[in-house]
Amino acid sequence: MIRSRLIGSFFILALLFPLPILWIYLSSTFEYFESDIESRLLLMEVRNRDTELAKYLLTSRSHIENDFDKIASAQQAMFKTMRNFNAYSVNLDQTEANQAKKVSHLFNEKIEQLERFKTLHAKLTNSLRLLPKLSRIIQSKFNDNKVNQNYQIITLMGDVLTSTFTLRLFGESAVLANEYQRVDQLKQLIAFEQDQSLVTSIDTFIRHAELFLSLRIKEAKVVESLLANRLEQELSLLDQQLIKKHQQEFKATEQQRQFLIMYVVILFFIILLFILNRQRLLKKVTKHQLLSEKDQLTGLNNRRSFINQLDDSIKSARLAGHYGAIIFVDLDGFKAVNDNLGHLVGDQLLQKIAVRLTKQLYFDKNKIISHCTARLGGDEFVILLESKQCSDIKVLAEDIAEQALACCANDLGDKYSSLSLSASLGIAVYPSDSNDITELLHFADLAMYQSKRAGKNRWKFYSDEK
Amino acid sequence: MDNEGKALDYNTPSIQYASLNYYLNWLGNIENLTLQIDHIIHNPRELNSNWLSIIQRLNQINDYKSLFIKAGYAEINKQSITDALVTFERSLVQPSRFDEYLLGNKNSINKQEVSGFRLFKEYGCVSCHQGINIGGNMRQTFGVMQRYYNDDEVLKVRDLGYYNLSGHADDKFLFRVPSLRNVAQTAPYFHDASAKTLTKAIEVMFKFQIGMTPSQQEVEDIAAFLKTLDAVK
Repeated sequence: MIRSRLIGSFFILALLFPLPILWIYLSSTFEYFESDIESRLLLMEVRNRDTELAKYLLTSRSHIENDFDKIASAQQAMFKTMRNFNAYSVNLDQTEANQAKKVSHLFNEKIEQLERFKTLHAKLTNSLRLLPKLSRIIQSKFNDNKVNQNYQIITLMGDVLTSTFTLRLFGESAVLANEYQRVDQLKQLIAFEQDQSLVTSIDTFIRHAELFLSLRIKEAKVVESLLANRLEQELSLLDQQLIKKHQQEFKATEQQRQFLIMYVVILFFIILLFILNRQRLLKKVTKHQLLSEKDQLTGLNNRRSFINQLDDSIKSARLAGHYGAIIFVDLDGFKAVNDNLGHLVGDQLLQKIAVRLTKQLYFDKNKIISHCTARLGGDEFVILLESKQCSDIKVLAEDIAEQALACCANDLGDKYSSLSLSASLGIAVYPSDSNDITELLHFADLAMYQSKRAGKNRWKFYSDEK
Repeated sequence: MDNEGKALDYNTPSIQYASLNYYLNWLGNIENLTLQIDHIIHNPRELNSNWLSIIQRLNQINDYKSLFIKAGYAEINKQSITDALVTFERSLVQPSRFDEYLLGNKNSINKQEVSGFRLFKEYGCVSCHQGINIGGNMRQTFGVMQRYYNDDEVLKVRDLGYYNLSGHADDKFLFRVPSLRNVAQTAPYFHDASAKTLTKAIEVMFKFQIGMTPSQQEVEDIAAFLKTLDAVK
């Protein structure tokens, strides 16, 4: 019972020891993956925002979508992403932090450039809307006298308009050169014009055309630098650096993890070995205990264990006020058995009597608290009794002695019929006779010899013979 | 007006549609309403205060305590005050007659207003005053066709606009395009409040942004159109 519980607790220990270490191992692995995934998600978000902005930039530029609300909300999302990114980059190492700073800087630059693009683009759109309107206003102001010159102006303005839109769509340098030429021609033509309001209108037209042309180049530059995507390059660089760093980290921690696993495995085996060894030792110990306490031939308690028991018994009797008796049993005529029938038969006889003394004796459980039978050696046996009552002990001892006599004399078998076998018994009582083990045994021995002398096959109390 | 009774640098914009703007203030230097509240509270020329004293003052008034709890805030703190104010500002957004027109109700604005809208598009005003808030999502130069300030005039720092923040030469006189919602109700106009009436503002825009003089009829039409942007009461 106790042994199995011990083994169980050892098993639990064996399981519990590696568990926290395994947990540390797993959580460190997960942590690594978590931080890796976090950085990747963040970089992906930055990339996505960047792509989104490029998309809106191009759609705005090609007039597919002409309001900036989308760009504005994309910029707002970008600010938020950038804030997350900056918060993340605080924890990075020097190299990566510098790279992250670069990315962050480019990001802000990009947002600034987008602002510039919006401003320029709105101006361009304004001119684009205004030029046709102005041309209509100018046409309405013409009088019919100067058909020829007016015709020229109208044609030129038509050309300017067409080419502004062409430029808007295709942006070819050849068209651009012609455009400047036409604007110059227009300027020369209105130099001779007298109608002041007409001149003002055409002048406005020319200024808008010129503004358009100059802003167009600026806008093209802004868009070019926006689409050059230095951000993407720096971001990829950062990405590579982070992956490299993570790989190194993982490798470094992997070695630690391997050591951890080895440690756990070794620990487990050591604990297992301990358990197995303990079991082996336990078995050995019990075996030795049995060997040291039992008589090898009969299986009864041997002299040593009997003395221990007697010692305990005397001590407990003294404390509790109990009484006890030892009955010394010595076989009569046993030497003849050995001599005539051989030692083997003698041993068999001893075994038989031992079995009888353990199984056939009747102990009254109401009166006898404990009892024990032992073989002291040779043909000597001893029976220990313990009782609560002083008056009972002698009666009980007599009763048991009577039974023991019967065990040793009656119906031993045909083999022994030729020999007269019996037993002589001596009884010593404690505490009345003595409280000392040696003395008690000696007294019982003396009583036994009295029985032998009195003609064998009987029992005597030491107290009666004194 | 600042806390000492002197005029502030910039013409104070209305808050009714502020939540629809991409960025706030004349320079567009503040990203959202939460940051703006923080900015105003700490600005020495505006509230010149701090959160601690504001929270203390609000806590001294029992009505506020119960009102905050009724509104679902556990306690009066920076977050709850900001959230309450931002939520209030967001709740102010209302549709205008022009919104109804765009949604398909052709009778919600009259003929003059329609022609004003047409002129608004033709003269290119829409290229800047655009998006859901009819402005407020970009910055534009004040004075595209000619400088708004004469060369001999001594420039105030604030008139340089976004240049004050970015330091980029291209950013001189750059201001956030204001929203035109409720424009008829929010005189005076421009960052320096230099235009006292809507008509004057339209004329200034024509002169400096487009470079021409509009007819009386055109100004009236556009003004009529701008009035359709007022919140429906």
